Amino acid sequence: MRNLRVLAMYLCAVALIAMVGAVSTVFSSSPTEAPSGFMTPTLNENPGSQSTSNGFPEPTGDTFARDQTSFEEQDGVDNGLGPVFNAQSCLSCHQNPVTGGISQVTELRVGHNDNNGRFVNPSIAINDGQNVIPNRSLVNDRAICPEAQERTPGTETIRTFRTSLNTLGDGFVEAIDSNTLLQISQNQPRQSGGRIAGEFIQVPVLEAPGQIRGGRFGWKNQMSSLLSFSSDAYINEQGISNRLNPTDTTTVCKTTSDPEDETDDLGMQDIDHFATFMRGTMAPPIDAALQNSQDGQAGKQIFSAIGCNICHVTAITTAPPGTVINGGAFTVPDALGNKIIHPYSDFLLHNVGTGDGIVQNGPADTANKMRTAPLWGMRTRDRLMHDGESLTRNEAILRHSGEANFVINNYRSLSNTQKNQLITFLNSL
Amino acid sequence: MTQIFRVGICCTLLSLAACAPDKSTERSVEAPIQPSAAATEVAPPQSPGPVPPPTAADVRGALQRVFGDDLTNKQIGTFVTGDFDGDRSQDLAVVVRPNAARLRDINDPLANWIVEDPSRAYLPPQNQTVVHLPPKPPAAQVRRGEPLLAIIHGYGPDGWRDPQARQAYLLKNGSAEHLAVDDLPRQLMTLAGVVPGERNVIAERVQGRSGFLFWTGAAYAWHPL
Repeated sequence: MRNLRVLAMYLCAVALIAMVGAVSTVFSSSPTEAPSGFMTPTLNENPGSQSTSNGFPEPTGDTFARDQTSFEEQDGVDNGLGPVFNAQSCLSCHQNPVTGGISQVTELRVGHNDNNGRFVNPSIAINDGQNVIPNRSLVNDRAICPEAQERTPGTETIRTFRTSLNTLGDGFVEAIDSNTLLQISQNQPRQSGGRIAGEFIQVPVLEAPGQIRGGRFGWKNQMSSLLSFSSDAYINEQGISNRLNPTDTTTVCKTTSDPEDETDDLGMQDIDHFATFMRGTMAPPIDAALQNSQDGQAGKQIFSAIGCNICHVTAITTAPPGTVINGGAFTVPDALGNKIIHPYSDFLLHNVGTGDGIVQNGPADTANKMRTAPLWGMRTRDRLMHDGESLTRNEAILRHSGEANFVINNYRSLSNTQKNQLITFLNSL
Repeated sequence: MTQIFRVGICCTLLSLAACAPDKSTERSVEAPIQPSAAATEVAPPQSPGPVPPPTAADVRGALQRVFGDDLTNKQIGTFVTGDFDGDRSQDLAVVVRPNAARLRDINDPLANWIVEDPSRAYLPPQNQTVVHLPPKPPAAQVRRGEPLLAIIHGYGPDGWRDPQARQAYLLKNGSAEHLAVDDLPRQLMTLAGVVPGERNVIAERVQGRSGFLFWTGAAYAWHPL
């Protein structure tokens, strides 16, 4: 009898332990809010020393501060800057209000359409016509010598400016499963009576040759991984060749050897530090006081009620930790996995009447489509839309048409009080 | 006997522990997406198609729909139609005057249209290597009685007649001297960055000076001839 009692007690204990285990497993797999904050102040001395990362695991010997230092480093001709370039460091375009944020800096893209109406990248002659930079829509504004300077040919009738993008929180964006983006795209026609259908495109992952993945970075979703983005920006914006883009745009005035991005004492190259820095940044934070105000709360409801949230998606959960992404080249760590983010974007391409006519990695029909601008961190911008041409929130909203037409007509039907509430909410992002 | 139970329980606990998921070894792979699954159904381009010529009543109705009573539209001024913004939907441009009693509404920062002065639109200079963007222009304000060019962008096959077509601009220095949709020399279009055949431009004479209005992708700009 005593043995039976002992047995019963042990069984109860086992059951209790099993229950606790099950509950803890459930809770540990529930998504949690991604950390947010402008936590990477730009310092003249000891860059990165006051920064805090989101907990992204650093490679052996590396630190978040060192990654930020690389991101802020000014390059010169002696270490590969140019021959054609736009800026000397990542920081030059990604700084406001902290390192990794946005800026007012724009880049120039041009091209033309052929007789069939298809976009054609330009070939731009430099060095008095002796050299050509072929098949590239980007026109660099700067060069290390006058012979290498690019100038827009009159034949390139499609011209647009593109504003610099925020990179804060991009580690979480990278950690979104491509299938999540595809699902958002497939849900949009149902949410909008068939009027909205974001285009999901897959683009090459440079660090995983032969692999493709859902594009999410850049105004045309032309990049899918932060390492690919770092490599592309390093070659195209700073003119520094690297292992994923090993050949410089031109050899005119070039004095260094390709690839110019060198391996450091940790076995890392600059593009690795850039990607690690961006992966370690927190998501842009909201202005909680403003958002929790009466007007902010009312505006938040209006935002969804009139349909802005169909494209400016309010919450997305990243892939679980351990998920292998980027064509096998990256595994989502605990710091980035299963996190709820509030990017206010679907990371899909839409025609809202503001398209710039440029095609990059997507199919021809993406010429007049742009990625839904993520609105997180929007309060740090005063020039809006892809070209920075809209100076007020109201004008930016009214510039939307095409797929967004019915949503904007809903906005037009609001009273001025409601419009102000909506704008208050936008100013809290 | 108790010891046997204890051993048994220990074994059970160890087994449970062994079965517990180890997060460090949990690995899944982002499922690949077949290009066919990712393909988006793209609607065929909308064409203005054959539409009857606009009447003054059509124009008055569209102005009322978009601007309400903020314009004096009892007498409709000169108007033209064309695809000004290049979206393959017919747009309307019509010379109007503001309702003097509603100037505050017309100039409201939250109005449902954008007020612009096309002569101040920024056009990047040609063949200049480094361009410094100009300072932000002051907001354009409509003054009492001044002629304006109202533009209503079309939506879908019905263009500016569609009840959903409400994207609108009020352009200062609207002129009734001469207004027409014109085919301009390719050279001039290229100079202004307008792709021939992709959108129409509005030929306009302002204060005796000929030029044309065109859509830059973000705003309307006036280019002299």
